[in-house]
Amino acid sequence: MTGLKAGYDKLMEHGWLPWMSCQPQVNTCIPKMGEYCASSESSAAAYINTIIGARTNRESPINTVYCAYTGCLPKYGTHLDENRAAKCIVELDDETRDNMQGAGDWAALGACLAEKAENRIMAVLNLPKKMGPTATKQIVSACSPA
Amino acid sequence: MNDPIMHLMGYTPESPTLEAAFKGKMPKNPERFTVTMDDVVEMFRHINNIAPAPGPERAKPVDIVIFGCPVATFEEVREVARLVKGKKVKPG
Repeated sequence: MTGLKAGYDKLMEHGWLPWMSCQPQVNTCIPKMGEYCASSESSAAAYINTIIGARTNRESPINTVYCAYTGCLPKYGTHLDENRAAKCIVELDDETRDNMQGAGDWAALGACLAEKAENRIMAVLNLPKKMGPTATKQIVSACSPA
Repeated sequence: MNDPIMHLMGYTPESPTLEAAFKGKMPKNPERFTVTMDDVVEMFRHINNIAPAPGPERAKPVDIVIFGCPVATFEEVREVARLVKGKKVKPG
C-alpha cells in the first residue's frame, strides 16, 4: 500500500490526473474516432475500438506509462486495418433481440457472443435498434480479452 | 475474442456495412453462428453461479453484493439506487 501511494504521489507530481475508474472512455478521457490511444484496461480497449471508433491495443501497463510520457507508441496490432477485420458473423435470433433488459442480460449476451466466435473478430447482426452506453459497455466488457 | 474489437452492426462507426466490417475481404460463405434465448439464459445462470436455477424457494441468502467491474454507468447507478430505495441493508 505504501508503495502504491508513493507511486501515485510521484505521478501527481508529474501532472497526471488519476481518475479512479476503469471506464474513463465514457466519463473523463473520451477519445475521438480514428485517434490512436493506449489503454491497458481490457474492456475500455474493446469499447474504444468498437463503440468510439478510435484505435487501441490492449496495451501492457508498462507500455501505457511509456506512451503517456513520450506520446509515442509503436503502430501495431489492432491499430492496423488488417487486424481489425471481422472473420465471422454472429447473429441474434429475434426472440433474443426483443427480450434483452437490464445490465445482467447484456453481460450474458456478450459472453454468449464471445463463446460463439471463440478467438475470432466477429460482426454481430440483428442487434436491437436502441442500445445505450450500459448495453454496449456490458456487451463489449463480457467479450473483451482479460 | 482475442483482439479488443468486435463489429456491432449499427453501432461500430467504422463498419456501416458488413463489407466494411470484413475490410473488403468478406468470404462468399463466412462462418455464421446464431445466439438464441436459451444460450443467453444458460450463460446468465453460469456467470451468476446459478446451476441449476434454484428458484425463489431454494434461494440462499447473499453475503456480499458488488456493483460494477467494469465501473457502473450513471444509468446503472440509478437502477441500483431505485432497487435499494427505502430498503435496509443487513448490518455489518
